[in-house]
Amino acid sequence: MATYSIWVLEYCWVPAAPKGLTVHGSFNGGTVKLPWCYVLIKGGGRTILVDVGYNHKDYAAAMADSFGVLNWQPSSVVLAECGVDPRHVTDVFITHAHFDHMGGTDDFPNATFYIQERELSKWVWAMSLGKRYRWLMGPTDPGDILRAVDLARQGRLVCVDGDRENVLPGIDLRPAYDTHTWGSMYVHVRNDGKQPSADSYILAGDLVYTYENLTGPDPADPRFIPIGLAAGSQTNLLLSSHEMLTLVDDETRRVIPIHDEKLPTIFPSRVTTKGLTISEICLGEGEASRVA
Amino acid sequence: MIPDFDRLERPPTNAIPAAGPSSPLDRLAEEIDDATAAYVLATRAPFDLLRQAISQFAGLMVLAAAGARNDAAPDILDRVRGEQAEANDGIRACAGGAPARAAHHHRHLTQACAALGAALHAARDGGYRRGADSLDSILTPLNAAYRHLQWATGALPGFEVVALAQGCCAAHIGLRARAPNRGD
Repeated sequence: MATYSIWVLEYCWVPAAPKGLTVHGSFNGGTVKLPWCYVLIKGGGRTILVDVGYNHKDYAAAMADSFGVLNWQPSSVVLAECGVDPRHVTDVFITHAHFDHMGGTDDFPNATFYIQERELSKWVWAMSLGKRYRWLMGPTDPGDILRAVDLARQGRLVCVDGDRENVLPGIDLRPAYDTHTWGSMYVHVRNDGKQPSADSYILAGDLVYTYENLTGPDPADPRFIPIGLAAGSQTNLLLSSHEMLTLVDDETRRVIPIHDEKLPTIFPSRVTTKGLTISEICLGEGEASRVA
Repeated sequence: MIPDFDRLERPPTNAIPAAGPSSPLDRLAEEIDDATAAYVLATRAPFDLLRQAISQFAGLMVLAAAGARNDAAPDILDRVRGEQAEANDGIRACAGGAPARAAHHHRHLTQACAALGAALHAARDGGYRRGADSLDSILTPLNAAYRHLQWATGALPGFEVVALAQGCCAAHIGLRARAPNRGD
């Protein structure tokens, strides 16, 4: 029986993002709805999040007025749909240090946060390159980094150096260096606890935005197409896609692209009273469905 | 990354209205008088220097606090000192010419620069590598510097602490700017 339950929880969305962002080269592909989500993992006595969204306190007006982010709801409301209080979150895996993934750390006062050390050290390096290279630094908020200092001082920030197998029982952190960012990582949940696993899922962060990144336009003749935004290498993005698929025995649906608007059609799902979608990826032993 | 649709031969299949938005500088001119606009242009460089310096310093501190190795730390601190000094010169140069509309902004910019200077002073002689008390003496002014910089962004248009438009999930801003309205 599975150890962990996994839900993808939408906390706001963008109604019209250019498809070229999600699928490299689709510049004339029109727009897609882009759900913004984090992932809740429960089991083994742990309550875990993958990423924490943006800092609504500081950037709410800018995100809503200028960027069209709609229907943002706080983590207390979003997580309550699965019976979770943010104060009870024990662990948070930050897939990369962009403001829209790392800004909400204050909401989880009792959690330990994990991030790749390279994600931070290369950011510091990028800042040494000078003003002409500021594109590299734009999506990272100094405020997030300062909050990370506080987390480190409290002993609640773990800088991971590469692979971390069994960071929690049956959960591995895997780096994807020089891809979307310099120190991106993905989360591998092995729900049978075995290595290799016959029942595992990959929480891919922004290494893939949509299943089309893994299959191309024709799943019957699959090919990798990278996402449209990389500080690192598109080739490395393709290689990381291959690596993730290999870990789930080439079963595409087990690599979870949280930004894919079709995710709720692939897994059981429901829309909350706030108009946000919950996708139930799997249920662990003794856990009740939150979408039934 | 914002796709540059203007460089394409034809528009995306989802029709994007051709009407161009006013540029950020155009909007700046619409919102403030000439003297204030001149002040904004003059202080953008010091503001960016402070943002850069605070960011670098914060990155250095998180690595130190997490016990991560960072052999480049002394060089980074030297660079931060240089940026703070250059920003300080720029801010002082604008002090006399700051119009009343910009006084609030200038005060926060000045205080951000001073707080960053205090943090740098606390970090001298490798202080950032020592215990919690030492970190506190650095972090308190460093956090204050960041907050003053944030408050400065709210005092006048034309400044941003984080380049939201470069967020991986925010690349639709180009579409938003071209859309006739902001409805769903």
